[in-house]
Amino acid sequence: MDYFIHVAILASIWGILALSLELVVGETGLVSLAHAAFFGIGAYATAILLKIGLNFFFAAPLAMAVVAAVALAIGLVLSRFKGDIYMLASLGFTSIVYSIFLNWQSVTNGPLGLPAIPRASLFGFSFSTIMSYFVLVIIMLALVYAFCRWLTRSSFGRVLHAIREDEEATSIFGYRTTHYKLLVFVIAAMLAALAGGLYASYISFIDPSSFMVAASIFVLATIILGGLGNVRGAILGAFILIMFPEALRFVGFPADIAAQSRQLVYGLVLILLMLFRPQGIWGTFRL
Amino acid sequence: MNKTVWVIIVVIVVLLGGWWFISNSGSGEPAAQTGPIEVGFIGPLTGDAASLGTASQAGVQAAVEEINAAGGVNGRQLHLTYEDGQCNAQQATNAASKLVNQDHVVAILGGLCSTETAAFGPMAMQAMIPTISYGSSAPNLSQMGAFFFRDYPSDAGQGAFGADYMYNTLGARKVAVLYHISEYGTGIKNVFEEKFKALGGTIVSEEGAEQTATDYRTQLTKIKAAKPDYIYSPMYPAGATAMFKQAKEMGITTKFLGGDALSDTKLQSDVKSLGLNIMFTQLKSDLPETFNAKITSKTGGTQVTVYAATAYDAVYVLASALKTATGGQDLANAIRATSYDGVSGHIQFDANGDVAASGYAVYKFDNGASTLVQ
Amino acid sequence: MAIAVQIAFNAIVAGAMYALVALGFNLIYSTARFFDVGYAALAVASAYAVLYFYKTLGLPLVVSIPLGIIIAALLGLIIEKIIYRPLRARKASGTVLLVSSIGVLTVVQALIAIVFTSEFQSLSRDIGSTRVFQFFGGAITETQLIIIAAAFAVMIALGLTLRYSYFGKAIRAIADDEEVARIVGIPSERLIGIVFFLGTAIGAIAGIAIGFDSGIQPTAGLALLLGGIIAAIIGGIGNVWGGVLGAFVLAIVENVGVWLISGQWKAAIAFSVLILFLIFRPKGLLQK
Repeated sequence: MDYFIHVAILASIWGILALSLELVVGETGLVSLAHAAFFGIGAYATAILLKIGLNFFFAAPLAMAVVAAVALAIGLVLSRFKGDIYMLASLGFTSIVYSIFLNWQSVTNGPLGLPAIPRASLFGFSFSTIMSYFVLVIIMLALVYAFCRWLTRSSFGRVLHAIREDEEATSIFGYRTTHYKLLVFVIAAMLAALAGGLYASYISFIDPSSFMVAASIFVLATIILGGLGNVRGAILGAFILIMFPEALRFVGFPADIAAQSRQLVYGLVLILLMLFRPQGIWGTFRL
Repeated sequence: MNKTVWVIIVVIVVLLGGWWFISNSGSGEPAAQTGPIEVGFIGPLTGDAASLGTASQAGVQAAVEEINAAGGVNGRQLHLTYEDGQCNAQQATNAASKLVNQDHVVAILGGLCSTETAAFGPMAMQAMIPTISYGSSAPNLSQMGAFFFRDYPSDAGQGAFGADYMYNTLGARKVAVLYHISEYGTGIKNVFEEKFKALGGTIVSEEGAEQTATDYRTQLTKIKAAKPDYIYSPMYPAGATAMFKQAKEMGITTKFLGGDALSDTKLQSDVKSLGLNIMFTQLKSDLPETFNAKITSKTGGTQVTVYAATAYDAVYVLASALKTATGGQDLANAIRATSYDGVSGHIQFDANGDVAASGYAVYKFDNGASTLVQ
Repeated sequence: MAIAVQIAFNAIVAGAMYALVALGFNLIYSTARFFDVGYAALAVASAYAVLYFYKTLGLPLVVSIPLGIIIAALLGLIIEKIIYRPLRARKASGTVLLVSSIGVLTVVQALIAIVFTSEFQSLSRDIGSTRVFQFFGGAITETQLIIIAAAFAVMIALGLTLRYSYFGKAIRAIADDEEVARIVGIPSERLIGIVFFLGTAIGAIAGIAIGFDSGIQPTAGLALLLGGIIAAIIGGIGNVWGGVLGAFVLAIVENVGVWLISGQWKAAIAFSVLILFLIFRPKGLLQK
């Protein structure tokens, strides 16, 4: 049972990440690969603050604020680009941030990582059992989901959709599209940072290898699978892509090629999905 | 929602249900005092470190087969479940969670990367599952917990030994360092530099490269210009092969001292025609040809890495402890009391679960293999 | 002075490898319009094919290398037919194609690992044997000279083909506007298949080059590809000469950066160059 809860906790954390990327990619149409960077900065910032004794519920917001500042800077640069170039530039930023994680050893401890990150606690109650942390994460996921749903249905969300469909027309109507894109980018980054903080406090050890470009691509795959333009789809996609490889552990491949066979199946599934259901499961928007 | 979507959802639910069913039907109560002994293995079977992980898996498989063929432990066979850690914190915790909660293992052999071990360690400690790491060298793992052991030395030992040997025995005063930025390379390099400088030596050049890098030329150019007495190179075998080749091409004749990852037989064989002077530190051991043959016959390749030996020995250490204890605190105590001479050297654990660092030796590359220097 | 010369040589060799990758990548991108990440795995696959023919079967180099290239190119063509073509027929977006190419990358890498194990391999039968030449205090090996020559040969051949042959003109038409090209009667689907064949073949040369020069593992493709992509972008994506120019610019900046700063930041330097170019000269050095 604990194993399933463990997987569910991770699925929920990646669900928060998926929701945050959905705001940028699904609602606004910008394919950003920068999320691993924000996930990572959030994780490191929260971890460092937790280790010096700050309570999680102060550390996480502070980390989110740090990430907001970084996202503002990166977002300003990215706002000059469109389409494929936007994606490539965001990939570039993620790689640069990863390099910083790896080499800024005085702060991040480089490849050796930060171990012994304490669990979140509230008024003396520590979320140290797996069940209690699951409850914490699910509540967070629900809050983020509610927020995203509200955001996408508000007038702000409608402007985002308009930008997604036709940015030029929207700006002709007087909307400062750059400001809207920047704002949603920063909000999404802050949510990714929250996911990072939850991740750091749960696994209790973080190192740069969890925040490489591959993580950004993974989140992108989850929302494409779940379907873009649909907030629920993001959560579904995350849950499926986390649980599926775990389920494969139980398939009886011969021991010396089991792991590689699982990768093989995973890759095939990606291909088949794109071939037969590219709009994802619940998508309302095709990139 | 249209029909296709419903079909997909039903399929997913059926698959998830099937997964639940399959994974629950085999487990339940852990096997009592009869039946196979469940043991887990975590290592990077895919990803960038896969060559090391699969070789380690081969080491474990070889040991398990031998032990089981000889009748197992107290008549019970060892049953290994191999899980892929991918040298990644999240994957390692998933692997450990499955091993502990689903397969109900009594012990875990793993991880190889310190990333893996640091990530799943706390979970194993909390569940009181003795864990023997066959490859994680980060110094801070010594504080992991009462159920943690490693038959692979902490960087604190190897780096310090390297510095001491470099300064006192080799007489080097100016050293250049070329290392892989990873928990292995960075860890050893940090300890080495601290000790070497404390002894009075100078680091004239320090160059890092990513573990997956294939082009070391510019770093080597800078090192060559700094004219060091020796080059200290804690690197992994794949990159080291390229690096040595490029060093030779650039006309570098400086001698090298590396870490135990250089004990890789494939690396030694690949660079033998280069004629470079390469030495490395390692736990004093005697890897017999028969052991190398066991590993290569399983992997189908030519590589035998140091981790294969430590993984092999870890199985034997565990099996020895299992003769007198079945799990939990008893098993941990039995492991701590074990004294074993394996292919990777003499294994005995201290209070932190570290293997005694006093058994280091220096080996030299010699025509496709390695020979003991001191 | 000797250092500068050596660094220059290092940059030229690295540039040649990036150039090969960029050439193939540019070709595929300008016609099929998506980032084909699977391209990286096929380059590595060809190196493994050569490994099999040269080292395992003992066939001579002149046979092994062309065989390796052809096998990889055929794979590229097959993948294009069964995966990318149907997707493009439904007007799937670049992102969907990208994700499917990630699937291809994963599958090919896993297959290589299953068949050849994950061990690192060097293609040369005898590593220390290539001749080394010394110029002005810098060393360069015979293998590296061959790689540089190959890169220039491919570049010139491709450039001439694109400019003067019917095939080349048709490709340029497709790159410009595929629908119009089709209306005019150009069999774009068939030609794109050939493009994938050629592009993958060029990438295969890069993969084999790396295999001889340093060595390969199943996961070796991605790092090579990223260098090639950056080179293609800063050179001006879609422009054959641009990719080559960008490759050498990137290699020079990387190596000088490592020389002046440190080897640890090599990747960060490469991506910073990319971003600076995207900010100040997004169309690249040479426009299309």
